[in-house]
Amino acid sequence: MAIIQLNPKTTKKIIFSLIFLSSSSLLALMFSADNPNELNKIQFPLIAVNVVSFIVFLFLVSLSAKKLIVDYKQNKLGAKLRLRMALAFGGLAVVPAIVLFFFAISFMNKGISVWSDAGVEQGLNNALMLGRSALDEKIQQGLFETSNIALGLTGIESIDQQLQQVVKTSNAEQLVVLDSDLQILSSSSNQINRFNPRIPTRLEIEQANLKQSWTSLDSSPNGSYLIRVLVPVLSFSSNQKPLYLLAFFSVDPKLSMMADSVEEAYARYGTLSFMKAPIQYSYILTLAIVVLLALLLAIYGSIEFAERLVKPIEALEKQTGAAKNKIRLPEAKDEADEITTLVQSFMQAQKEAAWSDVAKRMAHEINNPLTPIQLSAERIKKRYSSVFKGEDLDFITHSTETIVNQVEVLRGMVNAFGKFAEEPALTIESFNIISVIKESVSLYSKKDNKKTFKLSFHSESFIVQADEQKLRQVFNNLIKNALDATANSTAPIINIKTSNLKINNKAYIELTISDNGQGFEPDIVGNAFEPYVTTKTKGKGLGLAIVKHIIEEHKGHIELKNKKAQGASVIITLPVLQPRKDRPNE
Amino acid sequence: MNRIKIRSIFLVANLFFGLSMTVNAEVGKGSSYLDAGVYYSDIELPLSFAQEQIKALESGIVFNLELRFQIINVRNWRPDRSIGALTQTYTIEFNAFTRRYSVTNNNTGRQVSMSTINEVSGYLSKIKKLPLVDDSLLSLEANYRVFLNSNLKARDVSQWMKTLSFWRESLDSDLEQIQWQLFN
Repeated sequence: MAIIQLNPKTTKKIIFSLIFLSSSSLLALMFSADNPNELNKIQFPLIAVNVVSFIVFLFLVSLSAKKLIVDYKQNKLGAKLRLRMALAFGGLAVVPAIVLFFFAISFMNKGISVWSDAGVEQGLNNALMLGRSALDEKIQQGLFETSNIALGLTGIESIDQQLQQVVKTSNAEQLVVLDSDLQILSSSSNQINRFNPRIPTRLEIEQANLKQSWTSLDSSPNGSYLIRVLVPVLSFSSNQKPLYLLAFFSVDPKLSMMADSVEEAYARYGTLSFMKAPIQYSYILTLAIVVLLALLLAIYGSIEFAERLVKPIEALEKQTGAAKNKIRLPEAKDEADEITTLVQSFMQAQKEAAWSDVAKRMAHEINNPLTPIQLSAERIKKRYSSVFKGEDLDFITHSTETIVNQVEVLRGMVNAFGKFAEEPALTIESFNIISVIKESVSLYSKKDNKKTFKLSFHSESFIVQADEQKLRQVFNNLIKNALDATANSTAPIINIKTSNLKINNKAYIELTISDNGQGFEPDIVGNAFEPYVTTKTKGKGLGLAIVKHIIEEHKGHIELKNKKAQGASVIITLPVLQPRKDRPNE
Repeated sequence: MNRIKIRSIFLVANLFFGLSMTVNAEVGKGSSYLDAGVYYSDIELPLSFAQEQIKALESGIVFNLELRFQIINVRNWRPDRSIGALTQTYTIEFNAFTRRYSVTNNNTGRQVSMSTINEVSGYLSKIKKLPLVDDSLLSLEANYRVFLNSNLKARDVSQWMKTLSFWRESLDSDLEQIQWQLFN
């Protein structure tokens, strides 16, 4: 089954971008939620962003889940464990998320039900009724006054004068006389800036005819209210057309303001009530998207987390299961967690134990026949040196010397193995480590005058507690390595530097030996401390392994690296004082 | 295969938009006349309010009636040419306090109030003497037609909220297009 593999870095970038986008849009949604109109405007684009995030996440989760299932079906190493862990972590996230989702919806619905409570609606209706009844009284007063004015009008000839006189003494803002064709015959106002009278419609005229009066309460865009009263003028007519008196009465501004406020609240409440269901759907949809996004993220995280957690265990299983095939332990420097460290320590200990065991056996097995071989060769030489002459004697002498020399080489190797395998207790004593370093330097600078040693010590005298002889062996070994590395350099320089450190309130000395030689080959750097790893033609590959062994015996740390420019550096960190339990001599 | 896909997309789109928009099927008419160098129009709109729209109005939702006029020079053998366009908007709202509907002409600012929704639709259905175009802009030889597209829309209610109100009658409605000859 083919599985699409995404670059992990690209996937990470996508995920972080989506998380950022979704979080930003959800925050915007949260802050805008106070105002339903604002929410309406921005909700669609914000939800669109989250839907896109959801689709991409779904795709990523599907890919990861598919890979996991395929691995499980193919019985791949660690797949079962990964699947179980992913299900466990995913389950832990899914159940509370679903529970929270339904609780949130329930609380949200209750919240919406509170503001749309029937009591609120009743209250608003009552407020409207109360306001109206207050204004009804004004309307009745207006009607009474207008009817009286209409009765008092005497004829069409002097209508302008009559209206001007009446409007001054009445409460009306404006008086208009019009005919049945809605033509204004006269108009009079007690305001300097009279307003354009709103002419009644034919229907309103019909109603005034039918009921002998017509009244209305109108609102204007500026929030004020106006009472209109229309009554027929019965005492005279104009060209046989019936006449009507239209009067305008303004409502007290305070009352207008309160009426407007009640009306506004009622309209707002009515709009929200009307849109209650879509608002509810909108909130549920948003919440569902948030929960689904969180769930997908949790599932994706659980799969990835399970994979990372199981990776070192898989490596351990591979290494232990396939040790015979010499599979190397994959390095996981970037993901160094407890399990990785544990596995690496375990593997290292296993390796060292294996090497120690092999070294002991080899030393024992090889050492036994060496002495008889050497003795036999020497006997042959002694016995036949008086028998043969000339070329034959030379042949015998050369051959036996070769055997003896090679036996010596073999013995040296066996001794080195023996030293690696044996773990004698450290002889801890206090001594000046700077002097020991200087002695090692002096030993090699006498041997090779061409080399330049640059020494930089943080102090002329620095007392440490350690095994002096073993550290001397370490310094000699490292200086010799540096000399070998710079053998082909035209201007070889070996830098030796010390400094003191404090780590977790413990004193340490740091020693750096660096050279400008050829440096380590890239494939060697990672495992240069392992036995038999060397680039030297004559080396046994045990020097650095022994050095590391000694430093670790002192609870120190050693690391090596190639310099950026040229050459290599070895950095040793040693505790100044040895722990009491590690001081066998005390 | 592609044709089937395209048809499916159209079907889904029609279903989706069909839910959020209804078309008023009544027929309207219009006519124009010249008065003091200006062409005026009398229009009869096929306007009626749906039950859901009345309910929304009475709940406090404000509606806009938009009339979009376009005067087109219809030419033989050549593409038609637009001479001008005019948009007239009316705002319709219900005042719960006065229990009256108010209709405001947003172009002139004139406001009228009515006590019933039938009065409102009657008032808005018959629009008289609407100035359309100046006579000096027209050529007597040309053939001009006036196209009127109108719609009634709930104001301040987002498309998102309208889409989520899928189960009920739409708050928006498009009126049948009306067209007439500007002059003979």
